[in-house]
Amino acid sequence: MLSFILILICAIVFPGLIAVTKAKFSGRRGPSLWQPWYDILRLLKKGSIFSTTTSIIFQVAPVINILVLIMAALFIPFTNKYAGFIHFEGDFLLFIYLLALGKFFIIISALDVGSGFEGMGANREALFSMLIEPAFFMIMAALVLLTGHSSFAEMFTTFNLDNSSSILFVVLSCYILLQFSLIESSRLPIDDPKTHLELTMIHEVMVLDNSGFDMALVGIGNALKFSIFGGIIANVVLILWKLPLWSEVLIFIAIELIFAITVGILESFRARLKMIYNSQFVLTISGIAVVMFLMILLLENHL
Amino acid sequence: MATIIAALFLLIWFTFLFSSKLAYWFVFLLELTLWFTTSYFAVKVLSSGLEYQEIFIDKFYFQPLILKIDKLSALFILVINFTCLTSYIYARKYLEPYQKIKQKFSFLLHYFNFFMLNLSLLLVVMIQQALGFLLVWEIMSLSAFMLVIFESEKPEVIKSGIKYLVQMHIAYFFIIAGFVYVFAATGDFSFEGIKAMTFNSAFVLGIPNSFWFFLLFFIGFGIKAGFFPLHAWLPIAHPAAPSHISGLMSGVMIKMGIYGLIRVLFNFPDLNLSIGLFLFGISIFTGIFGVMSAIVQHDLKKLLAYHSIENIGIIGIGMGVGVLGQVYHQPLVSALGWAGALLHIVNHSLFKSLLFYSAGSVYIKTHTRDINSLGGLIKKMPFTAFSFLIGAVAISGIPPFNGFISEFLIYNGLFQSFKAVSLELPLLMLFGVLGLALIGGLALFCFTKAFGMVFLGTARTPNAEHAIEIEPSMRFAKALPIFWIVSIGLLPIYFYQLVTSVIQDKFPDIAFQNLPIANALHSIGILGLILITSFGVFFVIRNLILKGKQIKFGQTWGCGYQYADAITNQYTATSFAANFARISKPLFHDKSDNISYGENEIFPIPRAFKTHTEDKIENTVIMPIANTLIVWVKKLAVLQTGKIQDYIMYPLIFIILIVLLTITNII
Repeated sequence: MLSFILILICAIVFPGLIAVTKAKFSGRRGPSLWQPWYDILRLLKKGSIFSTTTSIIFQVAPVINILVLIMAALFIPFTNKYAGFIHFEGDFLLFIYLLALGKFFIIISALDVGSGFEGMGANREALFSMLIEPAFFMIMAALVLLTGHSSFAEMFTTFNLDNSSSILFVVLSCYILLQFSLIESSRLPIDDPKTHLELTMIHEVMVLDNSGFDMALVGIGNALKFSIFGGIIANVVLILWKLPLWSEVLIFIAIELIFAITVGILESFRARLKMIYNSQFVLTISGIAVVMFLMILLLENHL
Repeated sequence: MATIIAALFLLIWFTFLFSSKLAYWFVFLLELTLWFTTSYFAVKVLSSGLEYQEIFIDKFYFQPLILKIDKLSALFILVINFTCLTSYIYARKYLEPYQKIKQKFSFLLHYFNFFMLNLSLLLVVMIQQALGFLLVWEIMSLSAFMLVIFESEKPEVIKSGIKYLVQMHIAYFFIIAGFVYVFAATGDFSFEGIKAMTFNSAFVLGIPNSFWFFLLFFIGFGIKAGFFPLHAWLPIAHPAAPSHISGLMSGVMIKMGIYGLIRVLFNFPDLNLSIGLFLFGISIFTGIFGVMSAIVQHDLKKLLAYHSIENIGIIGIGMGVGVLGQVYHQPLVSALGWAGALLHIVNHSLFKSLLFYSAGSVYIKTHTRDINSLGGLIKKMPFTAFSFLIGAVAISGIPPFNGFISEFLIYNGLFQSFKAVSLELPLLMLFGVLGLALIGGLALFCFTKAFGMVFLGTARTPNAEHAIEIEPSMRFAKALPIFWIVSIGLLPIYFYQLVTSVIQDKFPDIAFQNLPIANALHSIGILGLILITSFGVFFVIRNLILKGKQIKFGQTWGCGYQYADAITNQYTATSFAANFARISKPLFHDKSDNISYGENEIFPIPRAFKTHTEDKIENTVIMPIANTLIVWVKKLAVLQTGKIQDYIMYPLIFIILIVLLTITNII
């Protein structure tokens, strides 16, 4: 439960921190840290406008998406101290498939408006998230290999730092998870959320016709998604040391914040990839994950 | 039971005396008797755990023909009966529009064959002696053929039917060969005989003998099931058949191939690495190939047919995990693989029949199966859209529905193997994890496309615009599988108990109730329930909040341009699949037919543009072999002179040859 609360807290500062970092690096004063939440609050108060082409799917999707993300956040454990609120054998499978449920509905809600732009975004989202999926499975498989357990909680509690492959795992999986979360949340270099041309967007173009309350839900969902992945990264980093609880809480939050700042820095100095190279890039990340798994498999068998 | 089946078999011939409407109810009555009788025994076997045996015919070629129901048969009996039930209810209104154009006799024949298919499917899983098995297997293939060619006035339907029939008989030959091999080695002409097989350690082409024996059965049953590269009949026969028959064939009949393989593997005395590796590898490839072909497909029923291939792949992965687990002495890995495969058989029969019924509803109301000419049907046919959506979420393996549960079991089997301290098994299972993850992602891609293009957006043709919702009886037929899809998703633990009780005899040491996975399934069920209820509550709250606010309706955002045509400005199925088609170029070739402008064509004539996808594997691997075969077979046609004198001469030569060879003691 502790990690759930921390994830919610971090989700609040996440979007603002990215925006502030980007502003600072481009030499602007930038918005307030709370600006994204002012926007969301304003959206919550606003009325809505719906396209006449849409059906019930369009109204249902944002609700399902946010619920699924809240449920997914409940799976994340807090280092080796507390298990996630929900934990059982193979829980990471339900975790990743719950995210897929949210994605399924966001994609069909984008197709619901019957616009070429939204279709384009939906199709890109479907393709890239399909190609990145193996990466997450490989990280989990490596954890099962290293610990002999297959639930989030047990994997992090029984993680043993004594062998050499553990360090390799921590370093590589941090990198993969960072890229994974960038792709999953449609940030640079796959997608630029601040772009102004519908033809080059992915996530933003999918929610082009959402407005008011639903748009606010989408915004909250994005922040939450980032924070969930940040939470996983924090867990992976924190298994390096065995620390008292209060310092782990601080480090957990610090890692989440550093994650947000890293995203901001990356977005300031990186250009968006050409759309046709995206699938290669995404597949490369999955490829690195497979290589990592193979290396750990070989090291663990002492060959 | 034997007497009831015999009585029904006699009564069914009276179908031809009735009018087509009465015949439907008459056959329905016979079907009900059949369902109740067989399901009763199946449930009894599953609950008591004791096998049921009964002599069917006293003397069937010198030995009694025995009906035998063990737990595996019982599971299949329930699946067969349920799918036949929904299919038959669905058939009544689905066939109604044909009454104007078709003769009474074709309806009678259809109902008659439906009963025969149902009966033969049941007998296939109940008879384990080879002779009886082969007989009912043939009846199954033939009755299914008659059902497929219902729209026999269309030449392409007949052509598809013949293709199906030919491939079924190639499969038949391999199955016979397999059984004859068993008979020659053990003297027992049945599945049981496989148990007594002994293989010498000889290697043929570096592969153990037992593998080649397994390959005979694999080809035979694999053609029925649709494993790559034996899948060719599936995407041809399914679109040609009426939709309730497609649902039945895809949901149940192709599973008979899987059933045969499971029987062979359960009885196999010497499971070795080569068999496991082959089954596992080909299943992963089947799964990925099936779903990739489905994505580039724009015929709704063909798309679903390719998805059947994908699901056969998933079932095969489960079976492969089962075999490999046994080979590497990891009973838990093996048990989870088998349990996942069995549950996926049940699950696939549910959501695939549901999806085919939904596709059929779309076809019967819009008269097209082309995804690119549909759209916006959710407003015209809300129930059909809802049922397709449930099926789509379930088949993509997404919670809270049943597809996730069986994939969860298989995944757990795969991940279980990573706990073993060995190099080979995890290395093999790695491909299983990658394959399943990729299949899951691709299925999501494919079904968002199918659902989005068919049911959402604006109608692309007048046909789609004037569609109406289907009749209540068809809706009822679809509500039944939906009930079980949701039940399995929310109460997975009971179905886990069901499938594990089937394999319990194989794994006597494993207490399935106490495995951590039983707890996990319990939690998954509860979480699914929480998800659905909290969705309901949250959605109501959202609507209450929106009620107090200003709601406006307007056009879809068109970059500020208002006058664009809503129909042509939509994304199409082709464009949705375009970026995928680009990365799958090695396998598929996107072809577009268009005529370029002529030199002196000042005023262009109206022209059409059409795209279709070619299967490169079929073109470069399968077709050349088939073509060479045709060339050689044509050379053999020299013998076919058409003169009766020649045809009498051939047997004469044959007899003389036999006599000569016997006299000279050569044979």
